[in-house]
Amino acid sequence: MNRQPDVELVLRAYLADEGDIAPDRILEVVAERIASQPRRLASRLPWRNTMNGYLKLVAGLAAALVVGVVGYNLLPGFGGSGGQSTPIPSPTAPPSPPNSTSSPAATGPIDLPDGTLTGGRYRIQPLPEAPSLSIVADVPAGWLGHPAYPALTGRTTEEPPDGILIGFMSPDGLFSDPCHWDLDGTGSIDQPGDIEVGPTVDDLVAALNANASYTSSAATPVSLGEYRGQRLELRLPGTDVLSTCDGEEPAYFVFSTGYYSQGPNSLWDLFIVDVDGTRLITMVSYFPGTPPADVAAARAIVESFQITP
Amino acid sequence: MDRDLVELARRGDQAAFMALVRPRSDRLFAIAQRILRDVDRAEDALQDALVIAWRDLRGLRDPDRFEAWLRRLLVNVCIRHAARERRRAVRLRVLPVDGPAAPDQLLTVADRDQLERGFRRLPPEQRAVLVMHHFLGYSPAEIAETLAIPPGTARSRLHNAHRAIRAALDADARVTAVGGRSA
Repeated sequence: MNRQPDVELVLRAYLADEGDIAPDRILEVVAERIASQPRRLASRLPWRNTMNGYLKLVAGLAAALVVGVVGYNLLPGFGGSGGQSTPIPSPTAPPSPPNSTSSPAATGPIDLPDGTLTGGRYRIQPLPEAPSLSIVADVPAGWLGHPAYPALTGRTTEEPPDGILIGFMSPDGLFSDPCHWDLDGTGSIDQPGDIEVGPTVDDLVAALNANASYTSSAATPVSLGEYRGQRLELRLPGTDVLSTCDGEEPAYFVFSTGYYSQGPNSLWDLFIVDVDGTRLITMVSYFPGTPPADVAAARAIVESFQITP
Repeated sequence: MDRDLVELARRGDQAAFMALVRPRSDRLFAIAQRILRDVDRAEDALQDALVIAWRDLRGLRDPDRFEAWLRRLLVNVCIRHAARERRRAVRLRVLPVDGPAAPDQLLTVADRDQLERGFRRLPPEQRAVLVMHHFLGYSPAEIAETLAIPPGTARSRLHNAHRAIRAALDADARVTAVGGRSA
């Protein structure tokens, strides 16, 4: 890919202040509209902060009642379906939120929408620099789609201590010191890295394994759809290191392009495959506190990939 | 002063509200124009944002945060308008790409033309973070605060926006090299 190192400078000039003046009619129309506009009551505080003890007790009792009823119905010999092979809805699956996107289950894959997913097959364009490359993935209900990144996140988003994220990258370079990545001193997060990596999957795996700044596992062969590659896991450092890293918000960049550490003690499960000459990294980023079920779900999503070059 | 006006506006004083937004309207309009790349839609978005601000002003807990709150409202309205724009794919009256030169003469008309096409290819969320960073001078932390998203998410969005605009420019350069400059 042709690098344009001045892209930030060019964008700054492109978006520069040119003495824009808002036409008077805007405020005239606003004045007319608000004259007949009802006011909204002060918005409520977040639910978490306003829930009082009584409500907590009621909610807890209600939850216990639901668990009790479901448990009773699942017991063998008590009129429930226990002991049989009838599929049981996952107790952790949330009800479809009212703003959920339409389900692609019956219609086949749809382009990944923004927001909570209802579950099914979604089409993702993983790399902006390779617009023809697409992935169809089976994603369970409750995950969140982020087509602008693009990425998928679990219900707790990507943040520590229990978040999880599936993202995509195709970097050509690495930082020898991921904590001190601001090599040109500009603070720009678009720096090429000081280790240029060869073009193959094995080149990248070798470069990752050679870096002692983080812990990397031995690579194992993996296939995503019909494309083969390597899989390895990185264990990134904790707060003691992250807090000393470059950036206004200290950041830890392993790769020259793509994602940085999502928080202290990030675990990166990397699936690196060659898609007809494009080296695609699929990253499952999570934390020691991420529920194992979410990690398993993320890996199942990745294993469901059907890749079109 | 502004705090007093905010308090008055919260109690329903329309004149106070207009006094608050009038000196800010040029800057707000500039933000909307840069995200939406269209004069008419920028006007519509700013009108909508100000009406929403009036309607929801009682929900603003800290009057000193009025400006940041208003910008956040506007950016979110712009993102919604831009998303609609992409869905409708209507023909737009675009900003003149050969308009006023950038202050430092860094960009040629051809550069601006190419950037305009590349910028328009970006999702609205990415346009918004680029405008906040490069026009308003917001740090990723300030972008995060404005959009009510985690700082890590703001940095990711900014990083990916840079990556996407670079990819869009590369793609545009390839098209131009192969088939000449597109209209």
